[in-house]
Amino acid sequence: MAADLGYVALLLAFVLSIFAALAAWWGERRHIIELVLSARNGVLAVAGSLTLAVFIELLLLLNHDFRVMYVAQVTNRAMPAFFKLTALWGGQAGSLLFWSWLMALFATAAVLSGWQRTRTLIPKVIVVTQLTLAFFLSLISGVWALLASPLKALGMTTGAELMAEMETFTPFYQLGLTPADGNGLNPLLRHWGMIIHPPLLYLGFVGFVIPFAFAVAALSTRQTGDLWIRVIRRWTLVAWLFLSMGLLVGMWWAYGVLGWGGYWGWDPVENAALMPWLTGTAFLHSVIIQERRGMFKVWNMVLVMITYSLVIFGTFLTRSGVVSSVHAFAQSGVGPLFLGFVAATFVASVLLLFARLDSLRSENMLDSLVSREAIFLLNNLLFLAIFFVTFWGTIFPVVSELFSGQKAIVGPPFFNRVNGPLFALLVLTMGIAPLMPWRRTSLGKLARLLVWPVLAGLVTTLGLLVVPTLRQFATLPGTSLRIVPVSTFYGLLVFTLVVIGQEFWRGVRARHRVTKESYLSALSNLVQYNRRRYGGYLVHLGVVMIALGVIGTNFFKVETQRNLAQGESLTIISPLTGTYRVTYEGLISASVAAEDVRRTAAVLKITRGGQFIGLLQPAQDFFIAQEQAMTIPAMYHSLAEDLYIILAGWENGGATATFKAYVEPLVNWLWVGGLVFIFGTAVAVWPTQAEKRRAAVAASASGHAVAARS
Amino acid sequence: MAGMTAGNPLTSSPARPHPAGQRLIWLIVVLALVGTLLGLLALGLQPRTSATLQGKPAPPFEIAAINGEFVGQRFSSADLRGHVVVLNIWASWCIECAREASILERAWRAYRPRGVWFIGVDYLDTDTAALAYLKRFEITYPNGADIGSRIYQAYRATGVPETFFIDHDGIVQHVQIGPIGQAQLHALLDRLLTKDVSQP
Amino acid sequence: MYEVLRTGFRYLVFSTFLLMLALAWDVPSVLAQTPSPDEINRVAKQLSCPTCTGINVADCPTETCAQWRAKIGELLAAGKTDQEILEYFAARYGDHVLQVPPTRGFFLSVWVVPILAILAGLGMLGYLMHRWTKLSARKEIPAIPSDIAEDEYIRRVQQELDAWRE
Repeated sequence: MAADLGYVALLLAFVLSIFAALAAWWGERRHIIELVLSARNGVLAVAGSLTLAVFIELLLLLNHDFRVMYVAQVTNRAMPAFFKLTALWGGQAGSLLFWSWLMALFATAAVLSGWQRTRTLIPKVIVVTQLTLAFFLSLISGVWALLASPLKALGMTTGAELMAEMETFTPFYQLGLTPADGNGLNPLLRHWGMIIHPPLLYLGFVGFVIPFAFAVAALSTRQTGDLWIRVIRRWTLVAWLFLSMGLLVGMWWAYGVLGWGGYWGWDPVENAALMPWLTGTAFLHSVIIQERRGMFKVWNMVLVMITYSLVIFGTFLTRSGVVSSVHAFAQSGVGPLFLGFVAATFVASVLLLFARLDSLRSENMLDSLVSREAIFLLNNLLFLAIFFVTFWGTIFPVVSELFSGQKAIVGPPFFNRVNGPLFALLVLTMGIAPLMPWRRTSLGKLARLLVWPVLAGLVTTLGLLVVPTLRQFATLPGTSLRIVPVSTFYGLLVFTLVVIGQEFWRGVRARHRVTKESYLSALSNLVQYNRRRYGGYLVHLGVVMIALGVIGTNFFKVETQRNLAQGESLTIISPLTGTYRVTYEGLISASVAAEDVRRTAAVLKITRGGQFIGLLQPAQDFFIAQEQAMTIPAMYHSLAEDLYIILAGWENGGATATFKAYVEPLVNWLWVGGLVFIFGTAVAVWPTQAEKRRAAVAASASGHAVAARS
Repeated sequence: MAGMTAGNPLTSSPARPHPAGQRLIWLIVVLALVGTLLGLLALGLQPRTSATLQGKPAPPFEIAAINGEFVGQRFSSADLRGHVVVLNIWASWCIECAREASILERAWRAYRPRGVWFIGVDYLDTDTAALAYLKRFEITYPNGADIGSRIYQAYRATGVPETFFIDHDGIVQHVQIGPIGQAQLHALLDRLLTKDVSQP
Repeated sequence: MYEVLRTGFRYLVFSTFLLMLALAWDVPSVLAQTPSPDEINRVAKQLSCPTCTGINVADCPTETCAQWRAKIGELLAAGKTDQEILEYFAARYGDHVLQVPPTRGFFLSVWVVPILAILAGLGMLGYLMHRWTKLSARKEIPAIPSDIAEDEYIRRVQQELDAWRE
């Protein structure tokens, strides 16, 4: 009964979204304001009925109504209520419902907040967001099954079968009989990292639909001035903030849960989330040039369009966070439909772009190669290069199978080897860019600003090259340290760090000189009244810290595996601190909160440099319903490194057990850097009263500037 | 890199409008690039499952037997033409395979006199583990390693076990995904054998 | 009788010699230490688990991977180098068990295509920059005093302060 109601709400949302899109389009075309108003109300109604659908789905999940297929797939009776709620995004159909709901909320926010300032753009924004939404809703409302018999009549049996399957692909599909119990949620997903990771990722994904909608609206109505750029900058930043958080939490989850001592494996699911982030980041940089100099207008459009396509593509691959490969794409009718939608929207946007090229003429030219514009171009090239490498590596298995008949795997070594140097160059441009003024600069002046950063970077690199301990460490077996790239990379990081510090110092000093306020309040005011710029620098600082951790874990990581009898111990040498000794004390059965989980933990005594530092309990959880074991790593954290231990197996009731131990140098800088990164983004995105006032002042000032220039 | 190309119209200066012909060429180039890419993906992502082999000629295979009376002998699709062949892809680590192992062996003993060949293709296994498995289930029909996983790929298998029933003419008549039961196996073999008798 | 004894003795000497030779031949593998888990993992890390996605053989908990690790141990004990072991696995199970495709034939394109694309991007960027700077030079923009950035910066700070004090 409740499931029927939910299904009706879903269908209603689908129909309303199509109605809103058509009404907005026709109303704008014929200048019928009532129709546009009706479309706006339609957007609200879609959000309302989707909220109802989500609410009902949650009720079904909580009440273990296993007659509903989705509920039976992702929950069981033994699961804690909390996980039953999060199971909403634990499977395909549910996560698409959740995605659509978020999309509807974002669309509502965009339409309502833009109603006053960007009235002329809103109808097309409604068209784009509601059509996107309608596509997603069509997938989970079973309407594609209607195509099955016409396709069959045309003799396309495979297509007909795929479409007929779509009937069951709705979160409200009801089985003929009620199973006694459900399958339960994938154990890997029962972790708070996996609970907040998908919502963050989806918020990032749906967020990127809004800039695309505004871009298409601006293009099709030829309002390609400053208006849309100003509107979408904040939307893009919001989407980007969520996507960044989603990626970071995903890494944190992988590190804490997957139990292989790593946080990024370059698998298709991760890549699918990374790719729109890369193109989105490129856009965030190049859009600054459009704002300041009126250049790269076509390019910015292209970036928004690529990002949107990647978001749609990525939504499918990451739909539930369960590990899957590109090949999983074709397992049901959903894959071909997604591919068709991506193709249709991409071709449509390219056509629109070409039809409107004239309105995207550049207002300025590049004045000099030694200018911020030139560096930003380089930055864009690097982001796009990393995107392309990632894209190519992700689809290569499919391509190679097609051409050579042999499937190939493209693993982390490929991505690290190709993207590693590109990331290093990116850090370099990140360091230089703030020193480059717009338009042009004299080399002499640039040199003056470069003195300290370059000096600091060189000292770091040379110091690391000659320092004997690093070289000793590189000769130890089992290390993957290569001195030259590591020293270079750390030199680059120090260079960038000094540039950022210098920028803060220059700003504070200038303020101090002019206003005579104390350095501390000068700093706080500086950031407060230049949120975008100094927020950006904070983000860069976060990136430097993240890079510190990434290089640490990639090059300085140590690992060992031993089978230990009780009382025996293994040693592992840390490159930064002392030697750890891990002694196996015995195996215990522990209880965990959930009743369907049995935990077996090993007790380990840890000493470092002879000093006792604590007990660690790596464990294996056995999920009874799924008959699936999961390793639970135990960690000893410090700012220098983590000692990360997993229990790989045991024999004879725990008389002997096998352990894998990792020393993960600087890994916590990654998480701390992530927090700085997010804080910086929040600083840049947060609107303030003062900023609004400043915008007004700046607008009049730029008017003066234009007058002065001509 | 389609995007990079699309960005190229930037090159035109503000002073000169885009010549229509040049723009059309760019449009065609961009659409062609995007089309190729999407076409590739669409082709590559097409379902290639073993089930689609039904009614089609069996892809060629060759194994070197590692067990029992056939040790060292090679068996290929060409040699076995004219016989009914049951090609079973299995692995020692596969739990479902163990469920059908003795059923297959019994059927082999029953149908060998009638000219049916059973061929075991050992997928992703070490020889030690494979031999232990064959010994455990006392399997006597020829089994060999799938070198380079070529047979698995050629037959578009989606997992183990999968069993292919090939008739006298080398056509795949039935694809069994997952373990097979005794009744179904015998019925299939009887059908294949009678069908061939009726065809001169 | 004597003849028989002599032949027997000869046979004995010869077979002892053969036996010793065989023993000597086998010495490295007999005496070679069984490889440590770390050595096995070093090789296993360069292979990907064929039945799961995105996990290498060293980190993968499945039965297949355990068998493969044992096989790597055997091959290491037999004195095979890492490269030989990887080649053995690629030949036996197919190229898709390697973490990175082998450098031959079509697989080369996994490296070549990105490098070409990056070079093409660089070339296009260089061309664009060249053309733009040339065009802008023709427009003869008045030269900007080199210190404008610093001055403008202070001016903006001042401006913000004014706005803030209002």
